[in-house]
Amino acid sequence: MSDRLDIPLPADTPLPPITAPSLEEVPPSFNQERPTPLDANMISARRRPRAVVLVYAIELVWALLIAAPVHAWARRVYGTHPDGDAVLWAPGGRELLGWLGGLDAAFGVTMRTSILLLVIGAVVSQVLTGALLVSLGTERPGRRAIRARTALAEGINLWLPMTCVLIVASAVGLALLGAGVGLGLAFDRALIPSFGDATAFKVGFGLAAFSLLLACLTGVYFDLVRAAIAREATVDRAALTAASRLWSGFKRGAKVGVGSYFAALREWSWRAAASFALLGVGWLASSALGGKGGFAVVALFVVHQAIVIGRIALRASYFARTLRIVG
Amino acid sequence: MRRWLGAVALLSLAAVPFTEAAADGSAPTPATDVMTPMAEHADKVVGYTLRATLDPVSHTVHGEGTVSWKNVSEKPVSELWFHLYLNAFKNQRSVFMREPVGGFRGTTIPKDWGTIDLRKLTLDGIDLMPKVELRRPSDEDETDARVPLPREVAPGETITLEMTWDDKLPTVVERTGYDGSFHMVAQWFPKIAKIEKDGTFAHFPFHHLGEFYADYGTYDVTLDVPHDYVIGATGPKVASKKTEGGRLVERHVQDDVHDFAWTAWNQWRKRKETIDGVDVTILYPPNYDDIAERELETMRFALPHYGDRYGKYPYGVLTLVHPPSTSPEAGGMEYPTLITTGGGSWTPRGVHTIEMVTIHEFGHQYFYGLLASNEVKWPFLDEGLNSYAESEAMPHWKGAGSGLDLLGLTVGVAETHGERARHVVHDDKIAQPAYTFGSGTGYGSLVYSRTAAIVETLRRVYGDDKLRRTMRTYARRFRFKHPTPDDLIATFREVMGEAVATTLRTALFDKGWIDYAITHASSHPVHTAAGIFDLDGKRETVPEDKRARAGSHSGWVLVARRGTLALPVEIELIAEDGTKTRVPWDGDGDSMRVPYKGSSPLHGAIVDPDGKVLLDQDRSNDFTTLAGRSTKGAPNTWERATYWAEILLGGLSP
Repeated sequence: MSDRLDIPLPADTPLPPITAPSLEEVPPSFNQERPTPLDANMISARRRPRAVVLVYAIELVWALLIAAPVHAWARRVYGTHPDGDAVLWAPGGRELLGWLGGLDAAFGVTMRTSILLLVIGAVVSQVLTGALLVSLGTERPGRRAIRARTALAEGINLWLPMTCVLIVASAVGLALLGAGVGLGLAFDRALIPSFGDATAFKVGFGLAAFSLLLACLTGVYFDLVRAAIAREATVDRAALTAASRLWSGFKRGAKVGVGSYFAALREWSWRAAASFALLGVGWLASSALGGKGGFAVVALFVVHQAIVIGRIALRASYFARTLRIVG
Repeated sequence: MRRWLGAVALLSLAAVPFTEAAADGSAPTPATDVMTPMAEHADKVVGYTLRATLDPVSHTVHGEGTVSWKNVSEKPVSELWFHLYLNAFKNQRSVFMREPVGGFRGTTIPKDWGTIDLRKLTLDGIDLMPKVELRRPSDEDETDARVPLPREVAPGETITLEMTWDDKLPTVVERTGYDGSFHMVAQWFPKIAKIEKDGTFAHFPFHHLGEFYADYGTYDVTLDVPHDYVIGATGPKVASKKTEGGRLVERHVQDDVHDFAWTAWNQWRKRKETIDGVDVTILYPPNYDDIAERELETMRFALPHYGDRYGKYPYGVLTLVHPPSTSPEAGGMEYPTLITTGGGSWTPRGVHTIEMVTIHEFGHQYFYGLLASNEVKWPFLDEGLNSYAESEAMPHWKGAGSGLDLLGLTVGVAETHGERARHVVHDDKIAQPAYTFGSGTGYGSLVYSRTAAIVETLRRVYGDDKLRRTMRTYARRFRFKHPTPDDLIATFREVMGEAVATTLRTALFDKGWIDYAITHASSHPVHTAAGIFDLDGKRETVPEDKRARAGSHSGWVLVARRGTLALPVEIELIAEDGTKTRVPWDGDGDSMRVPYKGSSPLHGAIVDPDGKVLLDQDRSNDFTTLAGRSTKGAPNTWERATYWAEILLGGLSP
């Protein structure tokens, strides 16, 4: 068949079938919802404040759910006190001890429910991990952040590999910590006759602390794996299975050079320190404002929520760095 | 908040001699002021002059010496009873090992057993050994030996016996024994049982639950150990020398005590300090310098504080022994002028376990050492009152968070005792012999915590000043005198009145308990009366729906008192406009209807708003908000639970 438009075709020449173009064939400007990978140097959490706020909002809702059974129980027992539950948190702890040590069987049920909700929340929140990573590392036309529903959809797609990483990372971390504590205890016992228990304890504690450090170091590697999984999902849009994405992520994380790994470690270290410092601020705020009721509760809530947002922002900032490293 | 509480506590302490803070405003009884006479010395019944030689390789102690004993009873006696406590660890047939007690110390079987073997016992040259009865018929326990005497000992007569014995120390169990080269040598010599006024002896086998009881006297003990060992012992060191045979020989002498314990280890570190006129020595393992400093800090507070509360500590020395962490069973114990503490070298400063055990064991110097009641028959007189003393002292030093101050939560020692006490109120009596308790857990909760909670409740309800005077009177009056529960209750009666004494007796002897509860509350607007009225010769009928409002509100709250104890309490009525009114109730009767009148409706009520009745069995029924009124809910719990949930969730998610 001739491609020339000026040569008429025979009347019985069959016409090619009309088919819709696939998403891959459509130029990006025509697909408003598909995330486009950002250049690695452009990835920054400061560009995605709404993503941080969205993560915070969703986690707040889930935290309220986790707290609901405990709150309902406290309300049932102390809600009719003229001072409300402020008396529960008053200095001395008499009411608190009575409540926790009470013979009310509902306490056990309440705590188990909250713990179960926490575990479910931790697993389900891997959707947020994927969504946040994708949001940080992509854009839509006009250099705008992708929509929340797009990010969540991507997060759902990545939930399974992200959850697998969480499980593997937790297992490795706990195994390292367990081995370190076990080794520490063994050294503690073995060294007492020769060095006395104070020195033996320091050695044992040091070993356990070192194992905690190792667990944190491997955690950084798993963060790189998460970033790699999210990055690959946006760069390579081919329909891969969760298992292959997972495997690909592990491989890509392992290929990160030593220099880049230590760069990630540096980024993690100061942010982790800042995060702990925020917890310390929360502790001080609780000491100053806790149990007073009235405006003090509102002030404490504001301070605590600012701390939570701050920690999420630190985490998002760290994710952005890991995306840059694997990108 | 804590700084304010500490300041208030300090101010209260400073103001004690000048205030009349009694709950009912009455003046103190003249005989019970702070100058209650206090014995300077004990009546001397025994005099031990002993020499002990330690072999740290075989963990044996060879002992020899004399004991003089005075018959201070009203009857002639023809026998003596000796405690041979170490035989409790001889085998599993001893009373100690046989008693099925769980939940307390000393439950482990020693890896190496212990014994005390009496080799020689003579009186006036007559050998008493052939007649010594180590056991009772059909019982293999050998801790309670009867020694028939060749003649009667008349009242007031003193005899002197010579004795020789050998100890084999067990691995550390129930406060005594060895661990490597560490030796804690307690209950190590044949000890004469206490003679009572009626000529009987307070003798008993060594029970698993229950401690000791003996007469006062003088202990002059020479200790012979390897030269590289450091010794800590009862009483001051009056002589010391190193012999050519590579031994260290130290002599310790102490009057007015009823026991003697010592320790020897080649790893001890030592610090000395004079605190409130007392030479305090602390022995501690290597690298425990921080812990040693904390324990000395505790003594800097405790010596003057307890001196003010219970009379000046009369001895010139005090030795603190912090055992190595591999021997925790050697810790947490008291002997005259020597206490053993405990706690890991890693214990952070915000966790007050080091301070609490130190202050608790020091407090025993008073209740165990200077009052010396029968710990086997009436354990609460020592452990219970001492637990109260510790829970009273700690807040003065550490504030509201005397037990725990962490993550914004403060928990007090007294509150911890109160909570523990609630769970065992119906299980058993407090005032009974130690070995009759069904379990170690019950023993601990009742004897320690419930007794402390009872006395603390009396303090809060009747006033700190009155309780302080009562305890001071008791401690001063009965110093060196082996008081009984009747003496304690009589002192309470004298200072605080018959009602308090009755409450105390019921609580200690009859499983006394109390639970205040608000059962009903009501509030309604006040109207003029309805009905038929004859006024100025005219009859008028006022129907109910035509009554005028008087512009005020009326109501009532019904408070029930459940249980066998009666304690004065306040009921706080809270009006809608925020006005609070407190109404006292002396606790008489099963219930009290508290009337309310005010310009706004009654909103709610609280019984015991200040939480004075620590014994209240159920605090959740102590308050109410009337139906239809707005409640404050649980915003604090909601806020904290949400925050903690967010933090935990944040550990696993972004």
